[in-house]
Amino acid sequence: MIGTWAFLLFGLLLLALVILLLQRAMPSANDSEESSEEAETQAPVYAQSFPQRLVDRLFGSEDWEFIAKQESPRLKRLFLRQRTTLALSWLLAAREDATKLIRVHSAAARKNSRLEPLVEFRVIADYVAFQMLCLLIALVIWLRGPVTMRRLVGYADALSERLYEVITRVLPAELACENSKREPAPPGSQRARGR
Amino acid sequence: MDVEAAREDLNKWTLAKIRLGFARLIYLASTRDYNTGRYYHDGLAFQFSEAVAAQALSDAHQEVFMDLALSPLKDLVDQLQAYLRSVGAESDDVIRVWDRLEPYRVAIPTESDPLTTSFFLANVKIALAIVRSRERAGR
Repeated sequence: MIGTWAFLLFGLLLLALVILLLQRAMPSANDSEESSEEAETQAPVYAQSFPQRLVDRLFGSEDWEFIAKQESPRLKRLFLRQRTTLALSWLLAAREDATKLIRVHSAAARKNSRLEPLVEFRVIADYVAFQMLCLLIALVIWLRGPVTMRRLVGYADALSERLYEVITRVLPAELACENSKREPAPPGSQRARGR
Repeated sequence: MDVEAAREDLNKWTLAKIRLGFARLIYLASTRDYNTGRYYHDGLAFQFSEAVAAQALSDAHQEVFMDLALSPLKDLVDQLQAYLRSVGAESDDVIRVWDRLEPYRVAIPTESDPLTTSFFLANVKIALAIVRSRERAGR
């Protein structure tokens, strides 16, 4: 009996979290004037581009192994504090990018008379999965630092890439085209989207 | 095309003579006007044009910065130690000034993204602490 209640409570919490995430992603009623909607629909759909090498360095173990060899507790603390702050900044930027993307998508979808429910479901599912994964990564970073998290971050990266691809595929052609034109390819980045 | 030629010229006649990554970064940052952020190089501007020279310097600055900022921490420490020794002053004094005034902040290209910039600044702070302890141990 207690197990059933705990399961129900967990389910409710999960549902509340999903609703909260979706609400944050959707534009609020207060800012739904035509002009802001117009601006949102025409906003560029590219993410802030961080070089892949930066993500590898930030979440890899190479620098930490070097610091561990220094045998200085003060240095280790300083390193972990700095890297935790940087990793959380990266995560915040990644979540903001995904939210921006879903807002542009929902603004474009409202004007689209031929919506594909399956695609819309996939977009929402990917977005929720990405946000959940970000929360998990934030928790792990907070508990034990960002070192040796490359695989988990890579998974989040792939998920955000998939979200980006699905959304840009269903965006109106002129918007997708405009966005691809605006997308800069920073020097040193390994792929166009960068992160 | 002109910018590429100017980059080649810059690499061949100027940057090739500057061996250390930190020295290259400081040199390229010094070709930038503090107030306007525009890059100037008389020789390059004479051979190409002011705009092409500025673009070549800006690109080179960004590239050198990214290489240094995203290099393994161990390499950054070695680079920094070599650079501080090459300055020609007591390394203790130089480390103290770098620690307090953080002059390396002005060497960051304008175009670099905020996260890479923060990453670089954090790494230089750690590298300085390691160089300081290495210098003390070496005495």
